[in-house]
Amino acid sequence: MKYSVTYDAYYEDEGDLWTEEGCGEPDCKYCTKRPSRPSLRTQAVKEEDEAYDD
Amino acid sequence: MRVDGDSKIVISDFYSGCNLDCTFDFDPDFDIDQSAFSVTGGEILSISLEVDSVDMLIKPIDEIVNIIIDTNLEDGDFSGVSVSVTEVTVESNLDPVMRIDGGVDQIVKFAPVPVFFEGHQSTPREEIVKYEWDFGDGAKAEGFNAAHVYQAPGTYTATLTISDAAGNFETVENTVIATKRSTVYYVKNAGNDNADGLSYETAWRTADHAFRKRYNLGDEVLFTPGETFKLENPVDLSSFSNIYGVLFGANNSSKPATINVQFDSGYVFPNARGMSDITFSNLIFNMNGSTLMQATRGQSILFLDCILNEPYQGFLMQGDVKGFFIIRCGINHSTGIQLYSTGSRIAILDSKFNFSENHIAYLEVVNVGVIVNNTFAYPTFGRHAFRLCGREKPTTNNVWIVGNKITGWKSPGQTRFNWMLVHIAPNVPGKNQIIKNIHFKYNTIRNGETLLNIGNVEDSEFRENLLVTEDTYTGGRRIIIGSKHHFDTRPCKNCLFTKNIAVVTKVDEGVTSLFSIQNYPGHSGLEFSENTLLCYGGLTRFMWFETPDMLNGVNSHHNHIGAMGQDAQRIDLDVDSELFQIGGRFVGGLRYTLAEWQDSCSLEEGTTVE
Repeated sequence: MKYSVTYDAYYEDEGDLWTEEGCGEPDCKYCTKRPSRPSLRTQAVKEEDEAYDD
Repeated sequence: MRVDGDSKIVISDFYSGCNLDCTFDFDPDFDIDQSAFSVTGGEILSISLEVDSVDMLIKPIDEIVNIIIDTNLEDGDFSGVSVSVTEVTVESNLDPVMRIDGGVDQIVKFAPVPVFFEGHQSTPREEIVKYEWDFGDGAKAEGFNAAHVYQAPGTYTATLTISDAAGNFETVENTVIATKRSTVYYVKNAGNDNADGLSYETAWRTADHAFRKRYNLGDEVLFTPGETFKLENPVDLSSFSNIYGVLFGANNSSKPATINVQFDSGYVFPNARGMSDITFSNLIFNMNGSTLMQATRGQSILFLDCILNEPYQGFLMQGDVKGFFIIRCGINHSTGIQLYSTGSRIAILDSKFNFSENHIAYLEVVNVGVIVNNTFAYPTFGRHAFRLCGREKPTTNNVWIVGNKITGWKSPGQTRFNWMLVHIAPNVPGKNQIIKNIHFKYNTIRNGETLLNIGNVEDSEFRENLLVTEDTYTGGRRIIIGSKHHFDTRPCKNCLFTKNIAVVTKVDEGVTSLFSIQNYPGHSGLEFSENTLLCYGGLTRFMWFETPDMLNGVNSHHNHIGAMGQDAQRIDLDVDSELFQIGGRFVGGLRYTLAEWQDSCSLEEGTTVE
């Protein structure tokens, strides 16, 4: 499990999984301002965004 | 009859006579040694115990138990018969188990010593109604887990006492030795970084210098209480990886020292791997938008009487840290998650976490924990005040969450209260996440749309919580069983919701549902009893089932539903209100009054509406 500052989410390399996105309400400013999160299989996350391996 | 210190009930004054029905007030689950009984002129065939079927958790003491002694004597043979009894010892089957710091035999560490106490392995779990801890230094606690900090050097005997519903108890104890630290390094504003730091007169001057040294086991770095120090640069990782037994700050001080972080991003302690028995005490960190640390693979890390102001993120533990203690701490105004964990033996006590532009507590894994008497308040909309998830390894289980205040609000720019305050459910799809043995009791959850949402939760108890909201949003479901939230989940099993009180006011137009059973079939062993819902206006459902099959596995009884308020036009809640619903969303579906509900599905026996 690693943490991406850019996307403000935790993700798993195995399975290419992101953690939850939040409420998903269309009028939630927090949700709407978050960048969409790429598939980790197609785009590497920058080194400075990474936390540490489990 | 008396009860001695070993929880053995000794019957020494047995009723004697030909009437063979005798009454005692001990737990009928006990086994009695029948050889202690004899009857003149006859033979005892069997001895049995009878007790009325009662909820022993509600009325634990003084239930009358009849001892029925069956003999070969016929009615006419009872003349002159007496029952004689030698001393009968009835032993409880309570077996207390105390594990300290994961199972070590004895703790000998430098003060202050944080200790994680596990009592959850005591048996039989279903009979234990109280776990009491006496830490041996005057402090006490309750709970199947506990944590405590021994601040003064000394030898302490910690005791766990478990009790059953009849008041029988058993104890177990262990020893903790807190020793005096060996070397103290001093830091003061008028110091000199070129000095040796080994006395107040030869103290160092800067926080950068104090955090740069490679310390040894038992060292203490005393930042002079009341003084403020700048930290110009992140601490070099060579100082803080694999560091053991060091105290930063001041133990037992009435004044904190303050560290003003001068950089506005990144970590104060980058790459804090492998710390063991590290304490931060009596320190205020003005974080300036930075993050304190992300502790990985460490054990016994203590933050005691520390405050973090305006961090990006706060206390982070990752990679199964074993033993993380946050005690009497606070985080104020963060831009990121204040508290994050994937760890074992997590203790969060007497702390306050307020205002975040993200989650307050996001606890991804708590493999055995105690979370007591904290405040988790004011996350932003779309984020949680208290999030507990689960992973397969390590799993989230045996967490004691008691006496916390969990508070929402209308965060800046929002017109609605937080969409969900407490969420105990998976957070990643496809990971077989498990959450077990959560005891969520005596907490207050205030001002949110959904106040509590659980999914994948098993063998857990939600007892005597107070839920209050002034929500006006039209879709409020206050307690959701069956969190989905985008992820594959499994049903909830064997969960008890009892004696919770929900007060929901000002639901102007919409529907409020106290319990919503939803999202996937197969929930089982869910019991809802003695809960109270007080609602002020609006359309109220006590219980909503998304589909009829979700009725299976639910046992609901002896709840109380009432309306409150003075404006008669707003009170549409009475015995004829449609308080139960199957299907539909906020309206629609099949709706039932209490009487119709009882007729149709036999649920809600003993429930009242007024």
